[in-house]
Amino acid sequence: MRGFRKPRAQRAATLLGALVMLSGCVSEDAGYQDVRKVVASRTGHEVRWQHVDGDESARGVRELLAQPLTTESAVKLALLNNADLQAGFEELGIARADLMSALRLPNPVAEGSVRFHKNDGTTLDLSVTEDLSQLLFLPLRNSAARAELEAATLSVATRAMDLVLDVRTAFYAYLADQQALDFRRTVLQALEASAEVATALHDAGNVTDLNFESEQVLEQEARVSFASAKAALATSRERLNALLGLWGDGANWRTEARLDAPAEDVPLASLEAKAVERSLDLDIIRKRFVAAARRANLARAEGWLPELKGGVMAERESDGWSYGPLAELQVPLFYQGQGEVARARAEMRRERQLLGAREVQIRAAARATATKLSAARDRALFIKNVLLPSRERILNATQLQFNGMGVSVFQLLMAKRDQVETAKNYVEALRDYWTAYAEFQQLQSGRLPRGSVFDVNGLELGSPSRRVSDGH
Amino acid sequence: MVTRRDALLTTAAAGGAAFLNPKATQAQPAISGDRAWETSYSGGKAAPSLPPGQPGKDYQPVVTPNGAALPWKLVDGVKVFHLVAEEVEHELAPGLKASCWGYNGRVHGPTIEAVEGDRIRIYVTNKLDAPTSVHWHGLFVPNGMDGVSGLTQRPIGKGETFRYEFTLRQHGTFMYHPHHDEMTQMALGLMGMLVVHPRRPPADYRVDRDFVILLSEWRIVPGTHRPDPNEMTDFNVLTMNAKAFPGTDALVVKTGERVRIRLGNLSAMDHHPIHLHGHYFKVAATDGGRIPVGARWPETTVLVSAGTTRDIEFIADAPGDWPLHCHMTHHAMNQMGHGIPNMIGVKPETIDKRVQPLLPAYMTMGQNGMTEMAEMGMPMPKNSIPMGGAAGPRGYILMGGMFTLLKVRDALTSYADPGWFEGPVGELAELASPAELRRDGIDAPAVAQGSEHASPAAGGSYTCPMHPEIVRPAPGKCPICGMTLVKRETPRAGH
Repeated sequence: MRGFRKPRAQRAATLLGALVMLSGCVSEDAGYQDVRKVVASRTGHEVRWQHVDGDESARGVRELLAQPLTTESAVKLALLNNADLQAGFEELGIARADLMSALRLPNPVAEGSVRFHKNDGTTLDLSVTEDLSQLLFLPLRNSAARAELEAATLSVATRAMDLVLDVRTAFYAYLADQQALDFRRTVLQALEASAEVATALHDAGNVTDLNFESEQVLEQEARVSFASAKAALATSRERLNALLGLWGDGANWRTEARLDAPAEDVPLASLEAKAVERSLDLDIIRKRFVAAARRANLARAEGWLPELKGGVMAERESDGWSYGPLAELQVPLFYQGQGEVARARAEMRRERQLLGAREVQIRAAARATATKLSAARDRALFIKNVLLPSRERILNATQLQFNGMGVSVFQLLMAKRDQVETAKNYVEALRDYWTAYAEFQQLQSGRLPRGSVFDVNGLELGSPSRRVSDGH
Repeated sequence: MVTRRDALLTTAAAGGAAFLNPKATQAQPAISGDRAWETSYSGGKAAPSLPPGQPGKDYQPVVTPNGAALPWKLVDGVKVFHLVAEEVEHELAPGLKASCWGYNGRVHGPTIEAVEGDRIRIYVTNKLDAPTSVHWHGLFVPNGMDGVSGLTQRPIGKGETFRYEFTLRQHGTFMYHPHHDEMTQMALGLMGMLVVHPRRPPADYRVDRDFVILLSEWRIVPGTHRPDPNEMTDFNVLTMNAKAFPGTDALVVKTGERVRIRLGNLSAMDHHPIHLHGHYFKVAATDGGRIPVGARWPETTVLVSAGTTRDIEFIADAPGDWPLHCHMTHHAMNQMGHGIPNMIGVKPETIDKRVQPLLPAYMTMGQNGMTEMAEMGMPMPKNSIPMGGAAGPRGYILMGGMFTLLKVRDALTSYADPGWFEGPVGELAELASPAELRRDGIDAPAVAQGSEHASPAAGGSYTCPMHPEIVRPAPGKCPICGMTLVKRETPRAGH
């Protein structure tokens, strides 16, 4: 806020200095450090506002792309490189600007006039007035605008948290699609082998045309599935590229990550209480409520003292100078600012209701996420510990029966295909688990996952339609 | 049967059939005046029993390969036997065991042996959970002793012991089996042979070796442990005395001995054409009685229908190891599956290349028939012997099921299995030498005899699972395909 320190008239330097001290500077990184602190404590990740901190992103992105991507390196990349996030930071910029506006010292008004007399002579009128009521209410405007700034700070932090969740979810989806493609490839290979056997049998004159064609069509259908899986993977990749802000050469990243087996069981019973207690969404609403309350106070004060100006005037007439103080007062006879007060009070009520509504949503989301996480974990572990070994045993037993001429090579390949299908189900279960886990972490860190089914209002919390800085 | 003897002498005196031996057995049906009808078809009128026949003195005991005789004790001149029907854990061949039903801890039941005229009393104890009975197949018994559950007797309940008693009024080869839920009980193994020797055997009855073989068939799904009695058509284990080759004991005889083989068939559905190599034989009796000498017809293969017995007799005068087996080709295989695609003529290379990356243990099989599969020793479902067969002296004998060997030897110290036959040099089918082919003008590619075709050592030797003609005295790799040589089973010296 360098512009704020322009030199002032000496006359008022002390007074203004005091006022400046009273209002406090809107420091250069007001709010920004808080954003960084909140994001770091809630997600463990660094976030930077390029406008303030300089653009180190190019180097950071290069370093991160030099290695195969992991979930967390992708998150770091997005936090560095996602332009939407940088755009979101300007919510802070705007809030700061509003604070600057709110803290402005009123400019004095100088007035002068000359009157020319018919009989030789001029009268000179000079006056300087200052809006004293504005000066008086500066502290009230300051505290209201600061509350808005704090709300904006938290709001920017939640945008960063949303990005972290989005990247994680997209990365898990990409890994699952990548592994699904591998499975589809294996199934295709198994069916190619089946078709090869059928062709060899057919060429040797051992099976009918019907038999032959029936095996070929299975391979061909598997080819279609494989192509669909390829397309799905490409879509997942581009979704990630959009989140990471990559295109051209930058979009040629690789990953060697795989979806891990589920983590240790986490205590889920306390999620609801923790989600409410740590909720940034609720904090934002509270701060906006406080801002609205302060705006109500301001409106009431301004209603009773709409305008008080004071100054000095001087007049030069034919007999010389005369001067004296000048005061102007708007008398609150007909209107004491009821409208502004009512508006602020309406905003207060709205924020209070929003607080209740949001808390209910958070609680419901916490319970649902806890259930979803627990179920996803159970499902993944069941597939891993029961179904996959079962398919392995079936495959081995089928191989033995094949060796003993009890089943044909077609049945053996089908057993392989069934095993691969189960493995694919496992990967999907893992994806669902890790996605649920990321949502769980998000709730625990105090943010309702955006786009969740509980996000009924789209989480665009009622933004104040009236800024403190609006003049009257 | 005193009356019959009189009738015979009468007939002989009447100048009847000259072929009748005056010492003809009493059981020969008397021929009445018009030579078309016998005097009796059920043993004739009841007659008092004769003193119990003693083994060695009154009869030469039969040999039941892989089996045993049911012991008896004499109680007031009656031979008393005890059969116990129970569940028995039975090995049909090395590597294949099943929970079967048998008698006295054996599957099939022990052979009951007696002499015409004996009074026999058989107690039958039922230790099964199911009711049962015993029918004496081919025997002339009072109707109430016939053993048909629900008809001639009430079934023997669990834990109960019934008494069967009758005098034997015939001789021949017979069988015994349940006549209650036969489909289940016989499919699980309940059956046995019953041999009755003639009281006054004619000269031609005497033989040096007298064998009893009961034929049966089973369905045991590979990897399971119990026969499936519901199977009607797709039997996969065929047995002689409840054993499948290589589980069958050989029939050992000395060169020149007179041999009788009594074959009984209690298979659920199949008749079996039993074929003997190296000899022909005469079909000498059925379970209806002895066939007159002039009416006995020569065979190398005798069809033993389900529910019949056939006695065949011959002199074993050709030394060697002679297979005796059912000539239905699938009945000489073990447990193989019949529902898989026909792989004959299919080239395996491209298939293997495609499938092995997915299934490392896979190998295309069957494109040249069964040989490689049997010899490869691949892992099988537990408790199964799908391929069947055993190592023989000159390679793998790819036989199973209803297959055994008649081993005829010039010199024998005992009737224990004498090992494999080694014939005279020059009487062996072997690779034709290039000189021979040239001399006889045969247009065929000549393959030189190499050290690869050394005769096998009696002890450890190593062969390639894919190329059984490769035999080495020490471990190593096959020179043709590079697979590690596996140790060959030492030839059986008898079980």
